[in-house]
Parts: sequence; C-alpha cells; structure tokens
Amino acid sequence: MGESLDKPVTARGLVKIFTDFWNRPKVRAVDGLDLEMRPCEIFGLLGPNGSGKSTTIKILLGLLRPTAGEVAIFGLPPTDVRAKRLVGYLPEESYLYPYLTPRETLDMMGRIFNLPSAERKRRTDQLLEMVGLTAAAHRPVGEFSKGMARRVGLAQALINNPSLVILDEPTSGLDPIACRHVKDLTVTLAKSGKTVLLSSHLLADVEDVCDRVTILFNGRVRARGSMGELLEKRNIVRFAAPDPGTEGVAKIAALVREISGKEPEVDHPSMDLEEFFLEVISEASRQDETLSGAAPTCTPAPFLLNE
Amino acid sequence: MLLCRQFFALTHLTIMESLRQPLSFLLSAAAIVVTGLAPLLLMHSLGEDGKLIRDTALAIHFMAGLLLSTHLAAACLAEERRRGTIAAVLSKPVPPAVFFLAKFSGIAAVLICFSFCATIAGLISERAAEHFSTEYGFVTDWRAGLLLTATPAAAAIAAAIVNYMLKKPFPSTAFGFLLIFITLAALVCSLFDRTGQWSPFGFRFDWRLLPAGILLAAAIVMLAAVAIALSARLDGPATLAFCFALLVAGLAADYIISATPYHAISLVMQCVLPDWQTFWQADRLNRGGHIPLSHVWGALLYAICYVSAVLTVGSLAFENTEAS
Repeated sequence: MGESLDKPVTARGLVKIFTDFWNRPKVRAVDGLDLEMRPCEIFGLLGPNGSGKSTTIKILLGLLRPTAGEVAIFGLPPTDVRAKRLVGYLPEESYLYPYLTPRETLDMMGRIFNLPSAERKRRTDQLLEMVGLTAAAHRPVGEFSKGMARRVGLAQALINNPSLVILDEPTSGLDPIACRHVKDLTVTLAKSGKTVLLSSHLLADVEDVCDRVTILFNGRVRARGSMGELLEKRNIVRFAAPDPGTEGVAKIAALVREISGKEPEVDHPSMDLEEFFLEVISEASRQDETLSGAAPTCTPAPFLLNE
Repeated sequence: MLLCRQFFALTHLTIMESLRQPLSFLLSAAAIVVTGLAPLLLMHSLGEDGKLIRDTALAIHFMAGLLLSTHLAAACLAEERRRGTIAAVLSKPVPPAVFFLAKFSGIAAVLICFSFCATIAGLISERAAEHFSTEYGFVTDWRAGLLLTATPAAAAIAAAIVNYMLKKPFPSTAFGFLLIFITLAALVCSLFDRTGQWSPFGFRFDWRLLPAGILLAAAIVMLAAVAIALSARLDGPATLAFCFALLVAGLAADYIISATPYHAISLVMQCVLPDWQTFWQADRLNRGGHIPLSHVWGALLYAICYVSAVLTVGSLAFENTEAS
C-alpha cells in the first residue's frame, strides 16, 4: 500500500471500546465514526469533554488500536512509519521531557526524523523564534508555565514540516495574543498546503479558522459540514453601511418593513472582546517595549512555508 | 540506518533524563562517601580491615546499584506514560521496540558509569584500609581515604561553578565531574605509597576487586532489564515490588531450585530466577582467592542471555500496549 497525498485522513465505522482488567467493555469512547479530510483544509473536531475527540486523534496517530473500523493516513495504516513521517501532533497536554530545554527537545525530535544537524539547528532556531522562546531556549521545560510549555509542544509538532498537522486543544493555556497567533498560524499552514485537524471544545477557536467541522457527542457524530452550511441563517440578511443618521435609518427601516412586512432590527456592530483586547495590548506594547515571558512573532517559521 | 539514529537519539535522551534526576548523583556520591569513610572509621577489626572493607565496598556497590537500577528503570516507562511523553514520541516514526530498547540502553549506560565509580571507590577504599607491612607495621592510608571522601564534594563544587557560569544542569554536570574526579583520585593515589611517600605508578590496589565490580555491574544491569520489562505493563510501585521479590528469590535461588519437587518446575525456576550468587564473589576474595577469568566470562554470558530474554519479552509486551 503506497502513500496517497490526496487523502490525508480516511476513517470508516471507527469504534473504540476501552476495557477493564478482565477485558470487559468499560467505555465506548468512539462509536461508528466516519471521517474524511481533504488536502489543505482546516478540519474541526468539536465536542464537549469526554466526547471522543482525543481518542479519535490517538487512533489516527496509531497510539490506540480501533476496536472496529478502518482508518488510513495518506492511504497508509496509522502505525506505518511512512504515515507518521508526514504527521505533526500537538497533544492535549504538553507532553514534554521536564529536564530538557526547548532547544534540546526540538533537537531530539529532529533526530527522530533523521534531519541533518544543520537543518535541525535551522528549524530549531526558526521555531523557537516563531513561538517566542528564543530567550528561554536554555531553561528546562519543567520550569515553564503551561502556556510556555504549550508553545514548545507546538514547535515540536512542526519540526518535521508535516503535511498533516493534528492540534489537540492548541490554545489551551495560552493568553489571548498567543491564541490569535496560533489561529493565524493554523490558517497560514493550511494556505501553505498543509492539512490541519483541530480538536477543541473552544467554539470560537474552531469558528474562526475551520473550513469544515464534525461535532461529536458520546463518541458519535451529531453534526457535520462546512462552517457556512452549519451556521448560516439563510432567512435573515444583514446590511453594513456607514451610519446614515437617525433619519436615514428610519427611512431604510420603513422600506424594509414595507417589503418584508416585519420589523427589522437596527444596531451598531460591536467589536468582539478578543479584537478589543488585542487592540489594547498592541497599543500598550507600542508604549512599553520591554516584555517579560514569551514573545511570539506573528510570522510562521520560514521552513514551514518551504522558504 | 534511520532506526540506529533513532535508537541513539533516544538512548542519549534517556541518559540525559536519568542523569538530570538528582537521585543519580546523590546515590553515587553517597555510595562513594560511605565507601571512603569506611576505612577511616573502622576500628577494632582485629587485623581484618582488608576483608571488612572489601565486603563493605562490594555491598554498597551492590545495594546502591540495585536501588538506582530499580528506581531508574521502574520510573522510566511508568513516568513516561504518566507524563504522556510516550505518546509524544510514539506519534513520531519510532517503532515501539526501538523506543523500549533505547530506554534500556540509556539506563544501562548510566548504571555502568555508576558501577565504574563504585568499583574505583572500592579499590581506593581497600587501599586506604589498615594493612600490615614489615617496614612500617599497621598503616592506614588516610590520605587515600580522605581523597576519595572529598571527591563527591569536589564534583558538586565544580558543577555548581559550571551551573553558575554556563547555566548547565547541576545534577548531570556533577555526575560527569564525579566520573572524572574519581579517576583522577585513583591516579593521584597511584603517585604515592601507603605512607605518603612519592612512588609514581605503584598503584597498590587490590586488583581482584575489579572483576568483582564487573560482575556486580552485570547483576545491576540484569535487574534494570527486569524492571524495565515489567514497567512495560505495570506501574512504578508494582514494578518495584516485583523487583524486590525477584531480588530476594534470586538470592535464595539455590535453595528454591533444590527444594522444588518437580524437574520441569525446577528447570523453569532456573531460567526465571536470576542467580545472584554467581555475581557476588566477596567470599572467594576473602578466602584469598582470585576470580578466574573463565568465571567472569561465564557470568557475563549468563547475564547477556538473561537480559536478552527479558528484553525480548518486555519488548513484545510493550509493542502491544496502547499509549493512552
């Protein structure tokens, strides 16, 4: 069986039942899941805690064996090392060696992918710069805050310049600025030809970046489709225009009332809190350039864009 | 080729992880200090200092080695599983068997370094013990004893300086210095005779302790193999309990095997129970004998076969586990 780059993830009738010590069924974590991802898309796996998202991801990574069903990564079994070479994985928790520094962690992961020494160094430097940990590159990861460890986790997931990036709760523990950067990075990765599987229970994250989503509950698919299909309210139209003044608004409202026979809602659009927060912080950082802690750059590591 | 590189990368990782745990340095340093102090503090030994010190040094080597080996090996996979790092590494193109064997190799390398320190400490300590010579009567080489006792402190100070200046991790740097300084201590001892007179390269060590140390190193590595194989499926405390039981059963292996009524069961016992007596040769040394090279080779061959069998079983068990 050879690689098939046009089918990043294919799963049919996936079932995972966890058993107890006596091999009796304990939990049915995934129940008949079908999944198909297209190249270069950002695919969201949504669901509350315990809905089977992480179990599904671990099956896709070959870390768990499905009880039933078929799964293929680029047309290969997920346990095949050829498939694993094409995958980058950011776990739900930052699974890192506490006694290693970020630089050592990335170097070790680079060795596992058999990257030459010079290339490992280049990628490590670029990734540390990207996640804003260049200054903390020589501190053991065990001393890091959750957010900083998360950044190391993100960097190690990308060291092999993967074709399929699996991000499990990527913004957990990150501050709003870093969250924005991760979301921007996710979009950039997809634009540069990578397929991204994003699992989260933070709906705003998924809504901001995903092309298609699948919503899981109790291990089963409850809804799936593109963001437009799932969220668009087709019976309502919204206009946005420069403020025409009280008189102008009244005239437009009267016209809409006359055409539709219903009372329109008129208000001023408001910024969301994230947008407002980022604006405040951006202004503050222009005034005070000294920063403590991690300072990520907005630009992804050049090697990820094949530069 | 790729598998070899992955194997060495993961072995290197395991060595770093093991050495950066403070326990590796602390246990090695404690073993050296106790071994070094023994000849200086022992009194009323009725002219049997050499025997007492040999027994003490080998016992400390064995017990501290067993503690270190079970701690490192039992904690290794269980800790990786608890932290989730096992999932992070196995999601990369690493075959589970390579990961498992690299973990063992890393731990074995650390244990061999520990055994090197403990064996050198035994040699210096035995030299420091009170010995009778026709020229000087009963002489205790307290210089050698003090030099050995000071080695861990010197390693800690050097590591603290390096940590301060270069921000290198303290425990692994201290362990590295310990290896260097204890070798230097042996070389310095070799420059003087037991009364402190300049006498270059007249080592005056009881070299019979060298094969005894090698045998103990093999026993320690064997127990590490058992611990790591068990931890492929069990948690840390369960692995430690099994290792302790195996250690005790192995010490009484001769009795257990001879007391077993059925030949088939006795044969299985012979294969499963490690024969620690093969590796404990202090009695032979105390009777004034040497450890024949053929015994060392035989014991090492036995250890290699035992470790290979245990690792094969452990590797198969690990291959079938899920990194959940």
